Amino acid sequence: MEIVQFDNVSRIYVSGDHELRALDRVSFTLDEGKFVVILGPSGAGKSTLLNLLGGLDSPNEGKITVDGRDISKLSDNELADYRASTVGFVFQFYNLIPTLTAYENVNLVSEISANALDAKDMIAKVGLLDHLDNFPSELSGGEQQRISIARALAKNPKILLCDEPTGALDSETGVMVLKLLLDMAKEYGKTIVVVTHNQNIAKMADTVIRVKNGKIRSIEEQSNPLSAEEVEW
Amino acid sequence: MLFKKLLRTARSYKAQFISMLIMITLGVGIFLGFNMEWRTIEYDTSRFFENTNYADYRLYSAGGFTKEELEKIVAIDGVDAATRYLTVNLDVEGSKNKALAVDVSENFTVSTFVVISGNEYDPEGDGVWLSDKFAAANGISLGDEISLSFRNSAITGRVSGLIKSGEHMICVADNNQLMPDYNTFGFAYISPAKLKAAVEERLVSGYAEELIKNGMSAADAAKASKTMLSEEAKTEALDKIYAQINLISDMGKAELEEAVKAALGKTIMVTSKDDHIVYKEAMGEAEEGKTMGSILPVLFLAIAILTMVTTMHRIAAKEKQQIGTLKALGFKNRRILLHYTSYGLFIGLTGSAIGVGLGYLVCKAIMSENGMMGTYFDMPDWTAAMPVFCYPVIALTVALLTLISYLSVLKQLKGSAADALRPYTPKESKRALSNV
Ligand SMILES: Nc1ncnc2c1ncn2[C@@H]1O[C@H](COP(=O)(O)OP(=O)(O)O)[C@@H](O)[C@H]1O
Ligand SMILES: [Mg+2]
Repeated sequence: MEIVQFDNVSRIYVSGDHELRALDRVSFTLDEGKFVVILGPSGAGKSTLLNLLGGLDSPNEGKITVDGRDISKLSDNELADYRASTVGFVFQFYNLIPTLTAYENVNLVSEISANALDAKDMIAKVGLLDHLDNFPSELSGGEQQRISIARALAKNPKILLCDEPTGALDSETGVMVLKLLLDMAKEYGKTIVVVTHNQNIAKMADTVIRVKNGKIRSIEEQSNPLSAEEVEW
Repeated sequence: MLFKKLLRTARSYKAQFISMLIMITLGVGIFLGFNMEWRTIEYDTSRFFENTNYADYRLYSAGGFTKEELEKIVAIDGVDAATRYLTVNLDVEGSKNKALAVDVSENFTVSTFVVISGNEYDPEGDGVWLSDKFAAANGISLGDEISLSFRNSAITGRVSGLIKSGEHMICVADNNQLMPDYNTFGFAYISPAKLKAAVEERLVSGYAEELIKNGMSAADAAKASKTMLSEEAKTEALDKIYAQINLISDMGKAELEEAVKAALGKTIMVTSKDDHIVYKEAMGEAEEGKTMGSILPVLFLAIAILTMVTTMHRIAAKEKQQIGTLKALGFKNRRILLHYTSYGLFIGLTGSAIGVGLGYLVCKAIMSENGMMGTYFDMPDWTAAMPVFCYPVIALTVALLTLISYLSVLKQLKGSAADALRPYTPKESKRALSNV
């Protein structure tokens, strides 16, 4: 079942008198429940693509359909609803609210999502029950990212969108977090899209989309992706 | 949850929040303090003046006024009340350098007093109604006897009431005395009956002396002087001593002067309350307060608002990525705006609330019995009053502060959620970067 469709999507940044096609007429589809890696060098347009998919930004051209709904021409409020109901983000720098505790950060999504999952359960799932009342500044990078995964999943979204989720972590912690992320996505049956420039992560994906200079270079289906243990980090 | 965030964010920007709160508190406090001060002067003194029938005009005649003349003044259309009046500074006998302004309001309709303790006014009374402050400063109690030298005789009576009067709200002996000193100078009222008795007694003793000089024995002279003085002579002596008519009227000064001239057939010196030291000084203090209240506080309020503009802008810029995060999570712009706008409302309300308290304290520090004005004004009631325009000014200040935080956040919310998620870069550096 297709959950995402990009149809000739372009995102053009205008600064002064020069235009930059960060995404240039991109088309692809993603299947539900899959683990998708978007791979490419820095500046390729990966984040731009993910932002469009996540409704953080709107395309200049083309059509984006998610879960049967065209999101390319939504108003600000409609986009906010879309983000609240359909997607969960995991950012490179965690983006936790520093003045809220771990529990409150996760529980925050209950204010915007009607079918939010229990915050405490989610924190238990990421193994941080004894850090419920810690503020982000009292947590390590890996722990913060685990809380942000709990937060993304607590919304109970269709799709998890992760922009360089291990980019700020040391490789050992990164692998641990990545494994947790994938296990959770599998357990909850989520489609998960991970943006990275790390080739190793790509080895674990069902689908690998290679991006360069705002264009898709290749889309590769891997019938036998490796598990985290099998990858040589 | 977001309310918790508000409080914790306030804590994490402690310095900024406190400095904003202090500025707003000071701004509102100083604004209110000075404006309440002059309004309180106006309010309290005017009530006091009204309660003690403070005179709008005073007519002076060195030769005094007769009862018939008073009636003619009372009959003037536009004169609400008038009385023959005497105020004379008399030394207190038995103590050095103490004096009282002794007043008589003949029909007690104008320039009266309020009793703080003791007996009410009695037009036939033989007692002395004494300034309570003078009594306190000199250890005089109700019922004590006080004696005042009246030329070569004396007016003696028991203190039958302790009082305050608008006429002597600023109790100074003359224009050379800057501040009241109740140790040495106060005021007292006696009844017209007592004045009449004192005047007659003096007349009699003067006449007796005259007779003794002419060779009569002291005993005969005393007897003769009492019987030989005509009622006319007594009345004339009394009329002479009432050198003043105090009156209440809404007429203009020129108009009154004309009317008085027409009524009495001669030109009489008329002074309005604007020239009376008490009213003049009180209104002068209020004016001074108004000037202070219109420059200094406006400056402070302006600084407070500017502080708010820069600080809120800085906070909103620092919070930009959090704003972006909230957006990414799916919070609507309206909700985020409301949240951050509440910071301004919170600061505005808290600052104004403390400011109102501060303003009240400033006002009270000046306008209260134990405050700065307490040694200058002698009033029974010190009720703080606020000019009506202060309410909208405070409401507007709070609204403005709220608007400032609203606009600061609106700026960071502009554009897509992806834009909001990027760290804030000031315009200058953006331009500088694109020029590289
Ligand atoms: N808001 C923006 N304004 C202007 N240019 C942008 C903006 N965001 C991204 N870009 C440019 O678009 C290109 C793609 O950026 P991005 O999608 O962030 O790349 P990646 O995530 O693959 O590193 C880059 O050249 C980047 O400089
Ligand atoms: Mg990127």
